[in-house]
Parts: sequence; C-alpha cells; structure tokens
Amino acid sequence: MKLNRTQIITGIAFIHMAFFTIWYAAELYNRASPHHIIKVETVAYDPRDLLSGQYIRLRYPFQRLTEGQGWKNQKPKAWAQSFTQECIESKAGYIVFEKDESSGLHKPGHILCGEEVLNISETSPALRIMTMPRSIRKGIPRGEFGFGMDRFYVPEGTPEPSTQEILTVEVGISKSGTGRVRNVYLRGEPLIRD
Amino acid sequence: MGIPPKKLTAFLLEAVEHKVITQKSANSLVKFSQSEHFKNESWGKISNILGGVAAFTIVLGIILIVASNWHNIHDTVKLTGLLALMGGSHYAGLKLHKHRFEKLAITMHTIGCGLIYAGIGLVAQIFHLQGEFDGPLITYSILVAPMAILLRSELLSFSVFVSLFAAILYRLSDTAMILYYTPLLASSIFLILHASKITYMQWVKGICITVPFIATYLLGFAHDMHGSISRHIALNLPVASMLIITLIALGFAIKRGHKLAALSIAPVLALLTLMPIVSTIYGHSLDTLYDTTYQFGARNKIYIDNYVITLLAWISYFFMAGVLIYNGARQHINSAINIGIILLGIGIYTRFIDLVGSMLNLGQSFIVLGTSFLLMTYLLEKWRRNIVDTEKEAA
Repeated sequence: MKLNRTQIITGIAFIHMAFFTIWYAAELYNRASPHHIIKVETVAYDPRDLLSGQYIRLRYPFQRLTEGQGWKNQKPKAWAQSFTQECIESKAGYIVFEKDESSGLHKPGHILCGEEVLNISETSPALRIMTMPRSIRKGIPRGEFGFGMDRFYVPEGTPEPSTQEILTVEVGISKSGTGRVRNVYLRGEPLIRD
Repeated sequence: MGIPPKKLTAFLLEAVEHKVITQKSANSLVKFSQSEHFKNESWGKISNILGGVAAFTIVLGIILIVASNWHNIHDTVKLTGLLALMGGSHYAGLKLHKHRFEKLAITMHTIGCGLIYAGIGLVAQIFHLQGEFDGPLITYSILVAPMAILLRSELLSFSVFVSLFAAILYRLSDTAMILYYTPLLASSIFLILHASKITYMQWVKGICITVPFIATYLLGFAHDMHGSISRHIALNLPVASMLIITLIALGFAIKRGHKLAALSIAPVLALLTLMPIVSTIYGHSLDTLYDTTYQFGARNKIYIDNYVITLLAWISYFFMAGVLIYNGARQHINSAINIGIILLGIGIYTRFIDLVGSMLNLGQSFIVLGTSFLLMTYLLEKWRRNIVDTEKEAA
C-alpha cells in the first residue's frame, strides 16, 4: 500500500495529537490515583517561564543535603561515597517519609537506595530522587537533590506569597515513587481552587 | 534569484568583455531577469519569508496565551482547544495545498508543528511538571523531523537543527547523554539534508551563524547562575567547543572577505576567550564585597563578573543580529535577513517580554499581527498564482 502526501501528513499530525492526549491521560491517571498523598512544608519564590507561565518555585528543606539525612554514625565523606556508588549504580535514590501525627505533616526520614525501597513504600511514602547533585557523584556530601516537583504554576498576576511564610505542599506519590505537586496551601487555604 | 539588476548588468558586461558570453546572450539574460517569470519567483520567495514570520508570530502569541494560564477554564478544555488548533492548522494546510496555495499551506503546517512547544508548556503547567531544559527540545525535534522532511521546509528543518543543537550544548558535560544525542543529531541532519534543498555548505554556514548566537544567548543568562561563572563555565567543554566553532566562523568570514561578518563575530570570540580571565579576576574578589543575601534564599551572593559577562553577551548578541540584517539587506541575501530578524525577535522576546505588558495582552497582539502577515501571504500567493495561470494560458 503506497501512502500519498495527504495521508502521511494526516498520520504525522495524528501522532502529534495522540502524543499529547496520551501524555495528558497518563498524568491525569497518576494524579487521580496516587499511591500516597503527603503534606510537606516549603518556602517559595517566584520567577516565570516563557513557555508555561508564572510559577512559584518551591524549595523543600529536605532538598539540600545536610547531615542527619542518611549518614548518622558515619563520617560524611564515607557515607557520601557509599551513597554515591549504591545510588548511582542502581540509578534509584529515595527519601522515605514518616508522618508526624501531631502536625499531620510528613517529615523526611532516611535516604535509601535501590529498587527494593519500593517494598517499604507499601507502608511508608518513598519519594524518588530525580537528579543527584553533581558534587555527590564526586563523593562530596554537598548540593541539592531534584525531585521534579519544584514548580507550582499559577495564573498570571497571582500575588506571590511572602518568602517568610511557610507553605504546605500536597504531593501525590505514584507507585514508582514519582512525586507530583497536587496543590499548595497558604495558612490552610489552597492557592488554586479546583 | 535575489541579484540586484545593477549588479547583474555589471557582471554580464564584464562577462561580455572577457568573451565568456556574447552581447546577445547578455541582453537576453537582462531581459529574462526583468520578465514576469523572474519577478514571480522573487515574489514566491517573499511570500515564503512572510509566511515564516506569520507562523513564528502566531505560535509565539499562542504560547504566551497558554503561559498566561487561564485558571477558570478546565484543563481538558484547554488541551482540547490546543489540539483542535494543531489539527485545524494541518487540515487547513492540506486544503490550501490542494488549492495550490503551497507557501500558505507550509505556513499552516509550520504553525501546527510550532504548537508542539505550546502543548509541552501547557501539560507542564497543568500538572506542575518540571523537567530538564533539553526535554522539550528533543521531544519537538523527534515529532517535527518527519514533517520537515516531507514538506522540504527550510524553516522547520532549521528549527529541528537548532533544537537538537541546543540540547547537545546543554548536555555537553554529560558523556552518556552526548553518546545518545549525537547520533540523533547526525541522523536528523543527514535525513533533512537529503530531503530538503539545503546543501552541506549551507549547513556549515548555518552552524557558523548559529553557534556564536547560541553562545552569546546562553552567556546572557550568566547573571542568574549560582556562584561565580568562573567556577562553572570557564574552560569547560561547552565553552571550548563554542570557542572553536566561533573561531572557524571567523576564519570563514575573513577568508571570504566578509568584513562585516568578521566584525560581528569578533566580539563573541573576545568574550569567550576573555571570560575565564575576567571571571578569575573579578569572580573571587568582588563576591565577598557584595555579599548580599536574597530574601528568597535561592542565591546567596551577587557575583559582579556574572553581570559583566551578561551585559557583554547581550551587546554582542544584538550587535550580531543587527549586522546580519544589515549585511543581508546590503548584499540582497534574503536568508540572512530572515535569520537575523528571527534571532533578533527571539532575543527581544525572551529578554524584554516582562517589560512590555502582560502575557495575555501581548499574546493577543502577536496573534493579530501574525494573522495580518498570514493575510498578506494569502494575497501574495493569490496574485502569484494568477500570474502563473496567465503565463500558462499565454503559452
């Protein structure tokens, strides 16, 4: 069967539209059925993206690698080196959260490596680290982790929350540990109402 | 085509003097250059340029409207609207092609493809996604490359090439990703070359024009970097490769006697060469003097060397774009004017958009402007088609 020009262009255009429809449906499915929903604290500042608009940049306390996040009773350098090897080799690092019953918020616990962490995630939420700081790849315990959930898009002109304010972020975590921001709350009120 | 009549006459006169052609042939050639057929071809080129500008402006307008984020419209409606626009553009392109409005048809397909960027922005906005800079570029390239090949569109091919090239520059320090991207870039260049009318030499020229622009463009964001630029960029692989290509571009310009092109590339070369030196001198001493903590805590210090490099990069960028347009106009090179205007547009759009007004208002203005360009392309195409029909009837 020989396709003509019109049929090929129609096919390519269809692939373009199908790509967005499938992507949208997959994200919609993830949002509708998260494995865990956690609430964590953050602060914000506000740049804009020329492709997607104005957003609030969320900065989580557990984003910055600090002592206490995994290298208890170990020298930082030794821990970082073992962390580096294990996490880089398995290409999977997770922060496991524990719920603080008094505040209702989740607090970061240990950083663990390897796919087997997902077994823990049946009971405790495990958030996948998407990008490792470059320094840690070199064995230096310094830098910031990336979770792919640093942005919260708001309508243009939305006043930015004060950086002194503590925001609460509702994060949906999928079965594979991928985190997606669902909403952001300022003094208990959602910044975007559905 | 774009040879000015005076230049052509002088050239033919010289050819006659050297007995390369006869006086009779020279007269016939001058007559042909003034014929309706020749003018018709020139107008075809103008409608091509106008169509490209129309597509570019309309896509920017739609991206801005998407970015303004209308929260009172349901997400599904937003995406459906964008997909309808995408499908509608391609459908209109097919219909126009059927009615022999070829240039306008390509413009509509270009709009349909350009909306892929708007789609990526929209889905990212709806789900608050945050990815790496190269993700949208690669997605766009993979989706658009088949259309660029099929339509033999120079504008789409150029956009695919620039997207892939920018992705490679972004990932230059990541060896694993480079191994993955380079074959992708090479195969796409190969495919596009064989499908489009662009020659290898034009690609080399394209690279020589694009790289100094990409280098200065990226350096224009130096002020936004964490820490002193000397500790991040100086002497690393991206800068070194940009430096080498810029050096080659300068060599080409000098060898071919393009004084203006050489003059426009020289500041970029100076900037890339001197940057490590400037950064090393200022980067360390001034950061302690200006130890200002930002209230939002993203960056702790202001690095003066980053601001100096940003300023120099901005000046170099706009200077190069200006020279490209001026040179193109002087020597009647349409593609140089075309690329110059697009690069100038990108520079103004991405750097000064915040100063002009809200994204929504600006997006609407861009769409109105783009639609008027589209209308002009249509009228030009119609007029051109009438001439072709008249010629055919006369024959």
